[in-house]
Amino acid sequence: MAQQHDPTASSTGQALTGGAWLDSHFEASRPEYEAQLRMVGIQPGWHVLDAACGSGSFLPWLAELVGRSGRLAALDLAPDNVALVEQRVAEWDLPCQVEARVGTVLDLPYPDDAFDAVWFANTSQYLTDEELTVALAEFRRVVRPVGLVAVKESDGALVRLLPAPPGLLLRWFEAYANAGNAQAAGALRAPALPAWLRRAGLVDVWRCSTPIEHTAPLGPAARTSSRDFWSFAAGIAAGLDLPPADQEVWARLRDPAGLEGYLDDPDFSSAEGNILVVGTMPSGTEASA
Amino acid sequence: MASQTDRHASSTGQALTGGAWLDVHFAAARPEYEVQLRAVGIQPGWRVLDAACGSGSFLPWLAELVGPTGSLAALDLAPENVALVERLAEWALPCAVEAQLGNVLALPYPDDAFDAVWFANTSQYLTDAELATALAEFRRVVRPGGLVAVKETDPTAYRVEPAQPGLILRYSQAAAKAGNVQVIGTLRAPALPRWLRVSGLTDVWRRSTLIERVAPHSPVVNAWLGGLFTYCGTLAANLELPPDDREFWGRMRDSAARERFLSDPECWFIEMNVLTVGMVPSGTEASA
Repeated sequence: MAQQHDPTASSTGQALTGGAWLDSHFEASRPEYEAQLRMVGIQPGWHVLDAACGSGSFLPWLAELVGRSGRLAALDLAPDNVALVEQRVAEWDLPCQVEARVGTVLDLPYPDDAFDAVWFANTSQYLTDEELTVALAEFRRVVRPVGLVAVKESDGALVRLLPAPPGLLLRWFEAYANAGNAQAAGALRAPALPAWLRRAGLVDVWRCSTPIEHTAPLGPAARTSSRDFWSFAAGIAAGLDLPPADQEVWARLRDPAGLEGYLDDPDFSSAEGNILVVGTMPSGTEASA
Repeated sequence: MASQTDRHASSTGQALTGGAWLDVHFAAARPEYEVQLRAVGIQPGWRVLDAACGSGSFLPWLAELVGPTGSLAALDLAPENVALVERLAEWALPCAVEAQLGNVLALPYPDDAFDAVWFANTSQYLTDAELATALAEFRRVVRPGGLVAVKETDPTAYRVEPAQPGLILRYSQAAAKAGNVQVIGTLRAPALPRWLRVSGLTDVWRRSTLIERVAPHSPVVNAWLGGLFTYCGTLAANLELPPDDREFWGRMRDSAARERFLSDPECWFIEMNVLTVGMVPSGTEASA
């Protein structure tokens, strides 16, 4: 697990959940993130839960989708993220009402059938298998029949760095997961999410993968996001059992000058793949069958 | 290398160059292939070379891009592919297309003959020395300010489910270690931007395109994946691979087991393509 001083963490101590990290990652991935959200099928007038909303970056698009007759609930585990969301919502002047609160996806503070859809972005990675089962059951409980559950996640096996030995990140994720890190195991579980949604009782499950690639010359957001992620990953790699050729790259990325050199390399490319999985709640008849 | 009896090969003996295989792969990946070609920046009125055109599937889109004021040249190493392309007259394309038998290592065209070269899924067949020669030839036949566009498959980012992550990467690395030139060539795909820069091209950019197919597969996707997995499974029999991977490839060699895999509701496949585009420097830069 992340240490308390991890600059990417929020007050919950979970790695890569701090507002600043989330914001730079979001800015760097903005067009692809927007395309994914718009694919889900959220309709005007809907009541939608942004489950584990982080710093709330999806809320403006969600608000646009549900419009003036819709409304949003934003839930996060980290009080600092919820405070940030409340402040932002006040500044944004969104077309619909947004109610932000602290809470866990393992025990949602909402009644049954409260929502038309749940949006759950980049958070399944923080859950163990058992917790993911509980969270999906909670989403099923709070979404009305024929409503939607949408899960977006980064597929660990599609994270890439160039120039570097192929499979660098796959080996990193596997070694980190083998060392007992639940988040790494969660990121590697992403391609299996359609099966998870089906097992949770959702129907008409579909998936779509989206590549997100940052190549030299990097813009400011991509540079910040790449710098944060690769120094984070390199720090962890120091304690992992990895081949010497991989460790050579990680050592270079741990060195601040080496990292900047990498970011300036005309061949630099940092890529991830996102998977979006959407399932539909069965109708009342099906559910009771 | 592929044997002469490889049903995916053309008369050149190169694996996965036969017209029927190319057509299946093309049909299965059509939307993503079109997006990549349209991203290049080919303009109306241009004269464009489709270098190693295979069965010519890109020509209709290329013809649409250059329009009635443009023209196309289509070159391939395999006579039967060129013969196929010559039948293009039947396609009623909006511009002239001249098909020719030839080799990208010694292009049968004068200097500065083209505004752009499109080189799709063929860098994989070249050794490092041959790739350097081909890129020099592209630079020679494209005018200053013109474009060289190289599209290639990138096996370092393929995904297959249900299977162990990294299956295709490990297969590719084992085949490369065993000396398979084509697989070595595909593993070079992520480095193509550097190859283009080293060859003297400027303003080089890259874009990756993910080609994803989810069960239930259409017949054409089924044919594509069935062909690909049969081919890789046969090659994998003689490669050094971990037991889980060997078990997977063993199933791919068995037609009934392969069909079960392809019809699994969780069957999911991602092929990654990388498009790399560079510009031929202007006369001033070139002589500098």
